[in-house]
Amino acid sequence: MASLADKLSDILNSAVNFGPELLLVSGILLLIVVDLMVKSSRWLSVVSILLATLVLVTDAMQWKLLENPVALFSEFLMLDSPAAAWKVVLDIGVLLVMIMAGRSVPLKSRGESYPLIFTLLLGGHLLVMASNLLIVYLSIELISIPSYVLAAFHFNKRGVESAVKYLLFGAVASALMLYGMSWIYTFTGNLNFIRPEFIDALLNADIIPLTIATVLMLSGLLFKIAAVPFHIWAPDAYTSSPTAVVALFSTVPKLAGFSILAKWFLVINLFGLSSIDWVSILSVIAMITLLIGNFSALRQSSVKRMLAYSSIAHTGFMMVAIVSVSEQASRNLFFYATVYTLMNIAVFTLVQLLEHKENITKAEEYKGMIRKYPFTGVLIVVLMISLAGLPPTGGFTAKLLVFTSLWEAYDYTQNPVLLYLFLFGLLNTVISLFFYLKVPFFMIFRERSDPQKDGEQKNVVWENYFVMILVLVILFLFFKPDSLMDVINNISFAF
Amino acid sequence: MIPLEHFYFISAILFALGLAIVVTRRNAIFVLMGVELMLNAANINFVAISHGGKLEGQLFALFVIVVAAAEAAVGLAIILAVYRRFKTINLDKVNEITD
Repeated sequence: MASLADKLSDILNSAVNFGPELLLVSGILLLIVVDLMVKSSRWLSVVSILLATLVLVTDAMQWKLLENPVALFSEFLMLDSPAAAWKVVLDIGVLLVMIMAGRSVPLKSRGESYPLIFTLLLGGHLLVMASNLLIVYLSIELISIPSYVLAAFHFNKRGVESAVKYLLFGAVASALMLYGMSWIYTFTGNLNFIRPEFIDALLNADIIPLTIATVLMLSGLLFKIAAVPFHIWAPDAYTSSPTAVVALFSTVPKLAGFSILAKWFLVINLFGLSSIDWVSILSVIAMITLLIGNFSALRQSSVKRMLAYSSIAHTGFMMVAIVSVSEQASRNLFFYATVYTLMNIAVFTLVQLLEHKENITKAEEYKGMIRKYPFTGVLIVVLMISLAGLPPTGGFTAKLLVFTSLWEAYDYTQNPVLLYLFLFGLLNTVISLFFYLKVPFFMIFRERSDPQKDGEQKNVVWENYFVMILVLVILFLFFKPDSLMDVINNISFAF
Repeated sequence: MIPLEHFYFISAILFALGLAIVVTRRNAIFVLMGVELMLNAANINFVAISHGGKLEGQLFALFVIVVAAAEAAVGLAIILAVYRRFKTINLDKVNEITD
């Protein structure tokens, strides 16, 4: 047993590497005070954008300066290069959402939304660094509880309905996960899941109870990434929440969930020694997720609901990277996650713009909009192509990388399920074209019902320029994927 | 001394009861109560295992109690908001989102 002095000095030493999170906590408190003192929401916006930028810069610096993995707070957290990199992606997501929230009336009219979003980010930061089951549970709840409130931020009938559905699903999923954790603790007597003795104890555990516990534990993580069968909350929450919140939900909690799932998958797979074939099980889940996401998206008339199912389908594509267990696959997952963040937030920004200016939510109502908003229309076309995964966009490169690593995994293990998943994924990419191109189809090939206003040129809105930058980055990632891949290759995903 | 298995049995029964309530009850508050039972089932496991001097489990149980309280606070607030708008908390009737 270490002495009290040792523990105190460990806490002090850890605090040095805990800078971004400390900054976030003080920023959250500052935002609450600013909200109380200042009447205009403009200041709140400015302070949050500054805070998001500051957190992003400190995280990027931390990533750059990090040489060896550091255990923080007596091994409750583990700051390694994947964790630092994931934190940067989460920060980029929140920064973009903060900029986009400049147009969001529901978020701006109530200042509580900003501290809630940063609390969610804090949960994400802790989740990607977690090396202890207690931290996994706490940070998942730290992500979930603000999400339930944010889902209701329209404060109308549909808003609270989606919030209560999200709440009940989330509460049950996390309770299942907690019970699974308690069993895993029974087998191992240890909560720190990256220690060798944890893995050894799992190897010696009885197979049936271990399977039950792992399935329970996985349910909580699958809920966070919105994978089948824990996806049911997503369409309702996406349809009825403010669009900026939807952009947040579809990126930050999902990516944080993926980072921990990727880590946890290595543990339950016991580095290939497990007698249960978790790779096949997760591959089947990925297939069903792709299937349900894409086929349900085909039938949707609301654009936001269609994008909700599209984000479920993207979960399936990212799970492809997880089941092809390899270091390169983790890198490809990271690449996919980065591109996905950029294109998803960009497309939701434009959906929010049209929702705000024209009060349209359905795909049919987008008809002829390219004549009124030519610039916005072109951007939407590029983004939809990128989401569908066609060249010349970053979405294509990301899908190509993910399927390359899947094919390599099949080549190596000769597991037929991986081959089915490969074919299934390609088939689903084709299906997804039908609904992704629906919005551009209505925008370009259908006439507007009130053509007399066509003379107006409304290209001078800041969203267009903001999204243009994101689109340029997405196009750049197709022509020079190495620029990002070189950075990612420096991350050591080895466990 | 009570054997350790008894605690596991009681926690499994509690968990099953909680899950049954969640699945069968249509009243939002009952569902939250069912979730609470499931969380407490996990707590019993955590505390029972750590009786031999390992404190991690007991620590975990304390955190779970705190989180459960936070979740209940947000949950009841949302359910109240639902009641104000729908005049019911029957989950079958809280169903306006169709497309």
